[in-house]
Amino acid sequence: MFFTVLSNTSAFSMIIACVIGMARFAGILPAYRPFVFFIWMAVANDLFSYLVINTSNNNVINSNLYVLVEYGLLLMTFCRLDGSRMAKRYYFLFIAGAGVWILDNLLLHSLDHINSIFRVSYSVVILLLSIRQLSVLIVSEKRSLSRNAVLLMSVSFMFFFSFKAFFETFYILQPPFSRSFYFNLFAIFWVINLLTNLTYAIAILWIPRKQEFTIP
Amino acid sequence: MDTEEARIYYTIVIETGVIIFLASFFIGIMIWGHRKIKLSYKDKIFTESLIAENERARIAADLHDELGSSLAAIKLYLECLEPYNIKEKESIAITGGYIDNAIAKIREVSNNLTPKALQRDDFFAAAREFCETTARSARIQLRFTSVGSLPGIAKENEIHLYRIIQEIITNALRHGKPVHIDVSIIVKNKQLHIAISDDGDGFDKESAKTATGSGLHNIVNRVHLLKGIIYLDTEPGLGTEYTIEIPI
Repeated sequence: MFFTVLSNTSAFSMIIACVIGMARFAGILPAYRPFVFFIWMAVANDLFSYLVINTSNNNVINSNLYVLVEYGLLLMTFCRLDGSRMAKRYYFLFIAGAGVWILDNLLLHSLDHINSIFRVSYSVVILLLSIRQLSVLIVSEKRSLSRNAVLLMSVSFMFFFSFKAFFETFYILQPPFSRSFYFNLFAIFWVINLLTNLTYAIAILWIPRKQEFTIP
Repeated sequence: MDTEEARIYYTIVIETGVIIFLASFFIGIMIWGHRKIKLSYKDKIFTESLIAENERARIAADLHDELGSSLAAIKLYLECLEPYNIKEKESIAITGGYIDNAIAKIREVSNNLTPKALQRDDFFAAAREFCETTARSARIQLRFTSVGSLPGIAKENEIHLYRIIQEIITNALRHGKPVHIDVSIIVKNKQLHIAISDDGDGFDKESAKTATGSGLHNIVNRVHLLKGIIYLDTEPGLGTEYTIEIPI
């Protein structure tokens, strides 16, 4: 019972960030909009998965498709936060990621199978980009870091995707643990997911309505 | 779960907790270090601006007392000369005119370096006087509006505010060549709102951030010193608008 509540709460906790994003969208700076789109897509995927699980019992296909979209939106988020200065680099990262997705979901395996190679790869990429964004912020930001949406986003991504990469590795290596073990392992992931979704909601609240002019 | 699995599972839980703690500690240390850097940066700007203001005051005093009085003496001796003919009389008159212009220019430069109006009156009066003088000398239409007052504000903060407006308008005239400039200073809800817009050439914001000229840097530094926020709206060919919010 507890795990069911935890699982559902974790899955639908993103709705808080989704609603806040909708309420504030008109005033949100264009640089932050990909992040809001990412939140909306995540909620849409969660709702669709919930419906699919209750009908056909298998949400693997939409989940495999969603992770590619999520990767693209997160790359766009980092690109916009960088001021689109290194857009070519992000295009390259997306193309490379799409290549890994095709390899994992269409060539090596099939779309209706839980495929984790791409999930681990893109989690590592997002983790590295988050660390980079955090270091850029700490080095070049002359203003106070309290109530800084980018700081909160970077820290959330860092924690979430590092654990996502760790947990997805279990699906790749498939060590012979019991179902109970995997279930308990997923419980940790649900807690991390819940906390991450709540920090996304706070980050959206902290997104400034106007872009302050600063000189590095 | 059997015993072995349970051991592995709890190892993972503990390692997860340790990693979260270490990462949080690391980020906390980085933010604390950033705060220290920010404070020392603020001190650095404050010291630099103080040195610059003292230097300005010294130069203004030298200009007015030394150069100004020398030119006045030159004019006095020039007027003592007795011209032999009309041509010489005209030359003396023209030379006297040039000296008058030089004295007026020295007075203007000296006033810009250390605004007497700021010492005599408050920030609003000094800013208004600067805008009116600039509008006359640059032959542009400059509209100045102000609402409210700043009771109890420190003199050095008034100087920073004055310099911000001075620097913005000077930049606009030097680079943008506007025909109209609007300056609005409003005190409302414990905030000072400064809005300065012009119909000049505008500029590329990203290029300006890396430009070597110090005008924009000075403006941003002074705003940060006053714990304010500056918003800049500009594009080439579309004029420039500065919006500054400073808590009082």
